[in-house]
Amino acid sequence: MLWRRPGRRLLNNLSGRVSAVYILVLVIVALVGPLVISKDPSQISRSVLKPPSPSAWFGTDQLGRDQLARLVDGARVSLLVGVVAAGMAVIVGVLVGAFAGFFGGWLDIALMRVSEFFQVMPTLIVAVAIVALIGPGLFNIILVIAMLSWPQTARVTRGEVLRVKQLEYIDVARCQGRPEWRILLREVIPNAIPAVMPLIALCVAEAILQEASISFLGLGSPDTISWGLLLHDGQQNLLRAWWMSVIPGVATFITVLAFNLLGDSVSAALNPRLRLIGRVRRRVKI
Amino acid sequence: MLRYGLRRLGWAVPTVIGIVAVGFVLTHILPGDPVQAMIGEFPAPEGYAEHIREKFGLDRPLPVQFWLFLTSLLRGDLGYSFAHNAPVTDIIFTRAGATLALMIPSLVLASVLGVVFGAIGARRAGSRSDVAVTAFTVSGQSVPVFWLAMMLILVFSVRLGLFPVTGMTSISAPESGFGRFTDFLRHLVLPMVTLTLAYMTVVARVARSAMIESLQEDYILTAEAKGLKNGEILRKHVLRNSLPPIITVIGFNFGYCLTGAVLTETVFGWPGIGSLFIQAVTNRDYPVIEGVFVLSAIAVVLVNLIVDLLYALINPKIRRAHAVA
Amino acid sequence: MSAPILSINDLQVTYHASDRQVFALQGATLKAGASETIGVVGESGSGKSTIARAALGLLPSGVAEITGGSIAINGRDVTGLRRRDWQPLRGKPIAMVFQDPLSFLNPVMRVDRQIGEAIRRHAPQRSTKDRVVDLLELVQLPASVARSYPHELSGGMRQRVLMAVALACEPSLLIADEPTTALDVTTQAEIVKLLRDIQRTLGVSVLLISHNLAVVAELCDQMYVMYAGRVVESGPADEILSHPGHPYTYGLMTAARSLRDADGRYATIAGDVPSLAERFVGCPFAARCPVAMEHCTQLAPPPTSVAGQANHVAACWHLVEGKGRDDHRDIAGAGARHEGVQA
Repeated sequence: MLWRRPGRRLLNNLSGRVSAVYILVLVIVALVGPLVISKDPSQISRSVLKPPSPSAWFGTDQLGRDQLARLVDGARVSLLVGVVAAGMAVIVGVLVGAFAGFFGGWLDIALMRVSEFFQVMPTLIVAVAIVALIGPGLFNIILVIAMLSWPQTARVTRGEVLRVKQLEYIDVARCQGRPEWRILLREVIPNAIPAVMPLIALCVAEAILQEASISFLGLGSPDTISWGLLLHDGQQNLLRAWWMSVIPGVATFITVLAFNLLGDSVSAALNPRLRLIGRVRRRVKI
Repeated sequence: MLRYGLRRLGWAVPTVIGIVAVGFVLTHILPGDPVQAMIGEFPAPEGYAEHIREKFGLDRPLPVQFWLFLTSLLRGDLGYSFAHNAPVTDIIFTRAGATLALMIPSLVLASVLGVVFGAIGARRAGSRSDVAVTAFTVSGQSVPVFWLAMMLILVFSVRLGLFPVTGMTSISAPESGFGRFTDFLRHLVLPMVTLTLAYMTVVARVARSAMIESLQEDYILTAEAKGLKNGEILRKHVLRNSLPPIITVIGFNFGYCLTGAVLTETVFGWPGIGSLFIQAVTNRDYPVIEGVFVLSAIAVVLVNLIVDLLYALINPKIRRAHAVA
Repeated sequence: MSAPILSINDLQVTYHASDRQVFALQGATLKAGASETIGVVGESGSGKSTIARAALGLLPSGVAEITGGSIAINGRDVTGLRRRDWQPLRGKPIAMVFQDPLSFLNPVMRVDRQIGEAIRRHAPQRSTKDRVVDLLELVQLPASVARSYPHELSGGMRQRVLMAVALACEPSLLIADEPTTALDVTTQAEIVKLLRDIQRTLGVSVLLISHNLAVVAELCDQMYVMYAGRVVESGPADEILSHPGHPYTYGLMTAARSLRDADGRYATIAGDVPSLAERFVGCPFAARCPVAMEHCTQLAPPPTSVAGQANHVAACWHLVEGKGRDDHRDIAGAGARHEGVQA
């Protein structure tokens, strides 16, 4: 019941609806696309750097590989990295934030200091330094991105836990003699989750961007096709083959945009209060 | 105020030690040969490996190793790069100028434009101009910076031929004087626009919500009741009260800006720390990677420290409270 | 006679929230001439503040809508004025002192700048610095306050600063919206005294909005009693206080006169303030009125003069039906039965 109304409100929001549909289509394309497209994304051919044409809709790259096949294949990696890294980041963030907020004291100060530290760091430089030292590879990249993107979730969760923990039913649970960690897991965290929901989509957006940047810098594993890698190749051939940079770039941009908009609409749907404020805020027109 | 400053400084020190610890973990503890990690994959002279082993006490317990690592950093010794055949500190400082020449104007421009855009959005929340500002900021946060750079090159350099494609100076440019300066400016435009666009959306987003918040406050009603003009209210009352969160965000995202600078420099071949870093990554020039990492992290901490102090300076409550205390 | 500074005629204001409407003003009439002191009394939610904000064009735009009636300043109709066109009218003919002195002062601006802004806007030819000191003196504050930030001042001092800000505009009418509510009792008395002094020395009109009948009784010549978005009684303050025409006014007076009655109960008016989610068909007080008659809930009573005084008007069916003054007082007296919480 609690979830039905936000769901409807989400659907009422145009940008949220369009984004959700786009993401759904993209996921389907990533899953079944490679089966439908007959071309092998790694197949080298002699028709090198050919602009888009009926035979190769998105053109070919410097090795004559079909760009459409590569783009569809790359969607898998980009989405995989985005979702897995964001999932890990959110789980870590919720746990850290919940512990910090619930137990407070020195644990809180220390954990929040650590999260602030990660938040102000130049993420890409850190990520690249780590990847350069521990070696490229999809899992390493996911790990590094997750490691750098949990703090925001942690902060939001902590704030929410601080609010939830002083609600009366937590006292009720305490009076029933339930152990603290059980109260944390069963009562506090579930009630803090709604505030975290919008962050999931925003984290995916961020992770896709991060992956693209790392691969763009040539630090992805060379045999995994991702949009970042396509853009890397695109930059190498920027002055000769515009399609190699324009098309994967547009794909990345729109996908990241869709996840960002989805996150924004989820937060608008979950916080009808904010909307009301939005209206009342018009009080002063300048 | 002094006490506040000292307390912020007290926070900055452990953060710097944290950064060094991360660097230490990266080189000393992660699988792989620490000597290799400190020399890089460039051929080093005979006996240099021995020297490294000695200097960082690699056969001694980890705490001792950490201490040696920390003290050598504190002396400004970031190691020696055989790829460049120069001490890392020197290499980084020769490149710093180019990065600053790119970052400072971009940061200033992005902050000013971000506040202006935020104000346009906040002025009438929910109006068409506000929707436009919001669309702009969301797009700005979704676009890969390096791709934006590439598109600017395609349009303005390749198509329109207005600006040079890469680099910071042309070979044909005059050696010195005004001509050299205008040549530099022509090279600066596109990278600066890229970085400014990427960063100003962050500022605009925060500025917008901070100003909307501040427009809600009661003292705005007082200002209106005085008969002040809208522009005056926006400048004197709204902006001033929205500055603390805006400044905080500008500092908080300095690291983000550095990241943007690395990507922008890479695309434009701008000879700053960013391209140095990426070059080092390609060359597996570990001492430089490590050096850039540590130095940029410390720069971020410093900028945040300065921002914290600025915050106190524009907030009379903090200023007075700590002056009295 | 020249036009009054402020003239509000049968004003109706509706607030639109996302899921409901609030009919905050359902027909309120009010006049403020030169050198008058006017009091508006009513419980919270009676529409007092809405009137004050409407008079300066400060109703929340996009939320509040004027659905009927008119506002005129110095004889000029300003009812449908756009927000931009309001700006030149604010401060000079009419200035406003708000309720909560801390939140209505800009926290990061020194006092002198906040006063100075208003001076420069309305009297630019004068030396701002001297004028700030003059104004501070006028509201009986030391000149040293000029360099302070609001959070460094006490509640009473802040209220005086707000008054100085309003006076800097050189208004002919000063609207004070609950200027004493956020203050403790002694400070309240000082502020009321200050308002009276200012009114006398500067000859400005004061429109005092308060829920505190005693404050209004002390300061004002003219008085308006508001209930549920309507003016239910208006006239000279002495007249109203000695011969209240509306049962609600009588109830207010009894509640104010004796906080506790002989049984140690607090004197209150029975029932709750009605929600303004709908327009009233009849008399808004009917639900709480001890002497309500059947048709009170069906037809709105017209304004009727009380005790033969043309300038003392109340809206009550009992007056229309020509009950004598003494009869009426008995009726009203019954309405002020003491009920409420045990002390």
